[in-house]
Amino acid sequence: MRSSKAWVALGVLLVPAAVAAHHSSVPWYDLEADQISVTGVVSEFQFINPHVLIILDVTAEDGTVEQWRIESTSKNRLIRAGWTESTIRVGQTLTATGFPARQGNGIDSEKIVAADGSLEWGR
Amino acid sequence: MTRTERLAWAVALGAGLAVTGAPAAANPEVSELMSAGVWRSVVTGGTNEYEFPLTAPGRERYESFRLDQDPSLRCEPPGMPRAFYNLSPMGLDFDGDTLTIRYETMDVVRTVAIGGSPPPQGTPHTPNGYSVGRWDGDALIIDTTHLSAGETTRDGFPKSDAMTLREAIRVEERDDGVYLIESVTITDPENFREPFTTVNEFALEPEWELLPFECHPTEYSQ
Repeated sequence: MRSSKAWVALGVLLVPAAVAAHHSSVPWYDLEADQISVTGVVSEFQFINPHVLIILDVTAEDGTVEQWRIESTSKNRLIRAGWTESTIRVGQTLTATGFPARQGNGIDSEKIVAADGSLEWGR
Repeated sequence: MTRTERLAWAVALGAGLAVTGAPAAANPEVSELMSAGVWRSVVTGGTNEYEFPLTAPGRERYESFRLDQDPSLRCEPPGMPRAFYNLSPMGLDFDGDTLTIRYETMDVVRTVAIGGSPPPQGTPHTPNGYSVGRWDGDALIIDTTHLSAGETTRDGFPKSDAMTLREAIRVEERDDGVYLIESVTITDPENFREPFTTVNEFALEPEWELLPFECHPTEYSQ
């Protein structure tokens, strides 16, 4: 269960939209919710298909660190957008914006911005 | 071939002849244009927006589909029509009377016998089924039977082994480029009350190559 203090510290918007049940199974990400943003330090970057995966270490106000799973589109699509395995580096600070996971700390990212200005990507 | 299979094939073939009134005939100019590069969907991310006319049993199957048991999470390639509905970059290659269609997502490859014979007796049901194509003017018509049961879309609309597909593919040159328009009509009495048609457009990317997908299994927390 995600901690509320981390949400507050990160300025995450928690305004769930009305859920129009499309399916009985629970989708991994709530595409009907408002988008949220988190900022953290990259601890892992997997440049893979079907979805690129970034693990962000996100520090809450009280100093505790939570890991967030940031998914993006396919590696192949990002290759065509100019990405390589070194586009994102461990230790880099990123802000990811997108739809929240229904369970756990996760985002299906629509936008990724690097604090050092080296990356500003959006779908 | 079972009685049901023969009937499905006869319906598909009969409907085709009613439309064209002519046998298959090669169309080199159009087939050359169709294979001139990679086709990129003008809509990204696939689509789950269709309102399939589900029968009661079809709805039950849809409602009971478990996303965490989706074969694609284990990198099992989807069959038709789900492979198409990924709206992946795709390539068409004509070699004599054989058309090979490649969908980049999940490295799916299927073949179509242009002007081919009906499926021989004992043809197995497979994820991509048995496809025969023919030209109707500048449109390529592909009829597919002998599909194995599975999913029609990634979010679990069902697919029975009685499903048949009719694809109609044509290219169109516009001011801003060349486009491929593909309609897919699904007939599956076990799951859909009536045939259902979708239409999707793809833009030609003459400089692109299809890339290997090399899928990695995905695990989500519950």
